[in-house]
Amino acid sequence: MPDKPMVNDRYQRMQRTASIHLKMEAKNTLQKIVEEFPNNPAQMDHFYRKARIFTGEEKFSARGRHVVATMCIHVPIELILAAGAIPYRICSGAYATDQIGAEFLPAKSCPLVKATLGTIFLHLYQYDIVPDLIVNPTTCDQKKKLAELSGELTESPFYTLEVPPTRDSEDARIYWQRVVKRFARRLENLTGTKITRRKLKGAIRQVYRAQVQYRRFFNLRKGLPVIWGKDAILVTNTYFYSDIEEWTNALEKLNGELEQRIANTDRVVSPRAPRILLTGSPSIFPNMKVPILVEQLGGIVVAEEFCSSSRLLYDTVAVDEWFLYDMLPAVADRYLKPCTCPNFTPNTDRLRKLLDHVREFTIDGVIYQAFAGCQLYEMESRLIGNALEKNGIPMLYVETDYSPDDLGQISTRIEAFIESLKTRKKKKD
Amino acid sequence: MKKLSTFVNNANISRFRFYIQLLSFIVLIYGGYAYISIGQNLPTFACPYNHATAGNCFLISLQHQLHNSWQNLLGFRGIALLSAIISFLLFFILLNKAWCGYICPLGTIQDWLTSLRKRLGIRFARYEESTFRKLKKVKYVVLVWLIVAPLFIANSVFGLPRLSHDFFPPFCTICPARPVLPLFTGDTSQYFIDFSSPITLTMTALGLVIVALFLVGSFVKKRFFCLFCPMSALHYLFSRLAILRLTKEGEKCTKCGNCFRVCDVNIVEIADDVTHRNIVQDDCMMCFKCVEACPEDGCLKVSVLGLPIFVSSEEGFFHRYGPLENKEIKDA
Amino acid sequence: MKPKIEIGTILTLAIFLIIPSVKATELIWLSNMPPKAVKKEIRFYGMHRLPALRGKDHRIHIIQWIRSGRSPEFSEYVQRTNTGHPELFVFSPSEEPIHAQLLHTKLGYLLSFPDGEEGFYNAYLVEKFVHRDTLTVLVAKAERLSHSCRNGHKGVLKKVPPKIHPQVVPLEIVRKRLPGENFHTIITAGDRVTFQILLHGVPLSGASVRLCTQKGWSKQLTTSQNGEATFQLIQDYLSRWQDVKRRVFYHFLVTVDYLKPEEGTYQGKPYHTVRYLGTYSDIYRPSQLMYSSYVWGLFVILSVILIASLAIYLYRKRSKIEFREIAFDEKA
Ligand code: SF4
Ligand code: SF4
Repeated sequence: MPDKPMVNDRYQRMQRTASIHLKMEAKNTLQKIVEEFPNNPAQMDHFYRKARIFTGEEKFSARGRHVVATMCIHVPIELILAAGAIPYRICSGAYATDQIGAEFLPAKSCPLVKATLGTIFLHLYQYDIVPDLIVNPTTCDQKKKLAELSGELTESPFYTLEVPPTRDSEDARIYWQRVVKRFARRLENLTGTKITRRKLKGAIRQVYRAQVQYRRFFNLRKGLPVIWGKDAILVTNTYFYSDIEEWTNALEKLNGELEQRIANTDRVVSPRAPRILLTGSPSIFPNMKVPILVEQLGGIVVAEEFCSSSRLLYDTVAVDEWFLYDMLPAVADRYLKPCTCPNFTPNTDRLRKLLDHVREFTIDGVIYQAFAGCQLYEMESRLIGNALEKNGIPMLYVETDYSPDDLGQISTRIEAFIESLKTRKKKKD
Repeated sequence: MKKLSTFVNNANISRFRFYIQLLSFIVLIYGGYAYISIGQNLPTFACPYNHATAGNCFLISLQHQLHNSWQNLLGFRGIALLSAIISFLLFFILLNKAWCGYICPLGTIQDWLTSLRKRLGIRFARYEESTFRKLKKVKYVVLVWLIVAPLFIANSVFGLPRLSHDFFPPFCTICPARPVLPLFTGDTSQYFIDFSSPITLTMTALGLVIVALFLVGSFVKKRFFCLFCPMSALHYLFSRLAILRLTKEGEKCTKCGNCFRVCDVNIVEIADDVTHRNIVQDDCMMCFKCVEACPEDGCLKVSVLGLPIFVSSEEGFFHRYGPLENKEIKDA
Repeated sequence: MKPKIEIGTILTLAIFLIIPSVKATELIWLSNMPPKAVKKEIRFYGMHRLPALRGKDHRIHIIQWIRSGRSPEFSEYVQRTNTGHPELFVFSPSEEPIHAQLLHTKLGYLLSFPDGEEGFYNAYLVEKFVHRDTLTVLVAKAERLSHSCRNGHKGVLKKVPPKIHPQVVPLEIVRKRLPGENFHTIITAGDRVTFQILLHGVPLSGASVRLCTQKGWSKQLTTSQNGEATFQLIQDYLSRWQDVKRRVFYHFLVTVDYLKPEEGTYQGKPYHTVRYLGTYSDIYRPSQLMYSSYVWGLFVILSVILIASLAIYLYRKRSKIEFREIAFDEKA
């Protein structure tokens, strides 16, 4: 652990207690996920095990490579891989670190930002590693400020990736491409490895492989409910810090199993269970409150429109000429053009995507999760709600955070919502 | 049936296109040696200045038909003109703008220059969108010129003096196909400057400047000339009548921009327009690279008489771009 | 004032009436070239600009002026042939005889025949008369190519080779076709043109053939074994590039003169010698080499390619320096 002005007894105490809390939290959530649901796919075990990184039972190994910590979904993973480093997403869902972060941030801040700050401050990255670079995209206001604040609190260098505020204009694209190119340079300096044509192509293909499996997984869920939503969320969550090859292989196996289940009509829940689409602020392990509740109360989450899931891996890079001059902009475009992150304006594409998901996944109802303090999602909920209503899709707006306090209150609301969906569904049949 | 369509959708249309282009190039450029004659009013640059051409570019016959007095045009010649247009249309509606992407020898040459550039690893040029929007209008100006000039050469309009006959044929004199295509049959006779009058001097010099720009331009910019091509403008006027179509289902589009990225002629609408079904733009050459690059099932569609023949698909995308069996990716 | 008939007038008239019968035989030929005075009123038809009239039947009639002399430029436009009643034979491209007329009009003394199809029309004016023991057989021939691209190019291969008609015309001047000749071929200065002389369909050797260009340059040759004589057309005036009139058709005239001892009577008059006279006229253009330059063409192309490539190279080099593209005008 590097020497810091803040490293003192108090710091160490904080670190110890937070670590214990985090482990407990992770253990509890995992227990719920694994044990309280029937019929979990056998191949999920890999992902459960991966999640145990939070409980300390599983170790993360950088194998001597540089670790580049990322936030949000705007950081081009392909470049990090091509530079020979390991990407590692540190957006946190832990209440334990949320409480730590709260010390430095205004009370009404977003829990995700607070938790991430706490993680950075206490070096509670999913254990044992200290990132060589923390890449902070300028997305929402709170994330922007996060870097400045944590600069004071940690030794790891920060790199600000300047995300443009819009993405439809050509200027934004060109600007972003330039930003990405500069980022590539920075990565090269960090690792001392040149991003060559072959390496970048290899990295793109590596991500393709992951995407092929992810898309297969995504499409599988359009039909029979053969996997719980909480498991699906966990699968994408583990992508944050897994070795990409390992993750892809595990998902391939899981997909195989799920296809088998579909062939055998081996559902996890009755077809009468309302099919739910989750959207809004991302559910990140161990904060699985809402998905778990939904599924315990009789619904099934068949799709998530989260930056921790579908937005993460769905969109592909298309290159016309496999040279750096085309690959770099292509990679840049992939992180900008299709991204439905609400920090962009206008963001009508998010709405179009939701409506498409509603059709494709035969959704019965949408649950919109907004973290208290996550302004962008809170604000966008109105537009989304109105449009969904126009299309006859009921939506439940849930404001929540990482603390377990509101469990009772939201569980009542979700229960009522699911009941109403059930009656609706019955009427339709 | 399902198998067949999956097979087609997974196919590498660009490779298929390469061979079709090669074939049409050989037929159009050398077909005359085999007494092949396809037609007098082809909607593509089958340049008759090449003595072995297997057909005639419609633009040259259009210019000749229009080079007539008003009386003639209202009479017998008008009927001839009309029938030329109809025969052009009959050819055109079959393939729509795919005449550009699959048949046009000048387009093919540009694509070959592009692959040469790729071989050398030199990066391509892209226009800024605003430049692109400005430049793309040039083709309409050229189209108007090639329609109006023959009339002005043959007639005095509004009592103005007639345009000099030295301008005739007004487009061919500046068309890069006239000097470039005969080269392939070993004929270099078009590379001269005609000093006999100021007009011929300007026009022939301009013609050669255009050839030079064509060569350099299409080396660095994919399909450089197509942006200015009056044939493309003419095509677009009739594009809606054609039976071959490129359509887009906007709801399925994620605006990922893959299609735009691979488009040789920088068509933004292909990615950003999510409302129109018929997505063919005036610059589009119907190469269908966009369909290849679109990873959304059924988002972009090529159809004949409403029957889909080539549809974008996730599987197809990864087949072409991705490492499904770790095979070498569609390479540069 | 009373009109008076003066001796002078009578004398002049007498001379006019007597002289033709005294004068040597007029060398009659058929010409495309209208007299200067009426040039404005003539309309020209087709690619080879045949002088034409629109007849009462609304068809196009090709007209040829009857001229006499040895050089195209200075030959007279005559009002009467040697005998005043020549025989006329005109054959269409498909070798059908067609009806021709001699007309005295305000445009001059003309041979006229209707145009109907694409191809070479053969027109002959034949005269025979005995004068001082000599039978003169004069054949004035014109081959006129009627072609307009708007009528298409069907059957070129069949229609281009020369046709002869020995059953009605004793003496033929046949212009051998140039290599690759088609409907668009126009003889240009510098071309080597071969003429074959046929007497009653048999090649005639030893006849003297003369070719005279528009400005009066002439050359005389004797036909070879197979009755052929080859001339290289020259550019008969020197000028600067810009003074060459490249669109102007110039005329050349070929004449044959051949004496053959032969006894006989014609129309009751005995003769000992037959003199065969033949004329043939056609058009040619200045050679492209007179007014155009390939060196300059090459120079323009290469320099534009160089400049454009350099410009692109520099532009690319410059754009590697970041953030250069926004420039504000300090002086405004
Ligand atoms: S590639 Fe397909 S999904 Fe992507 S922008 Fe184009 S049409 Fe839309
Ligand atoms: S829009 Fe599509 S079909 Fe048209 S030129 Fe571009 S890539 Fe080709």
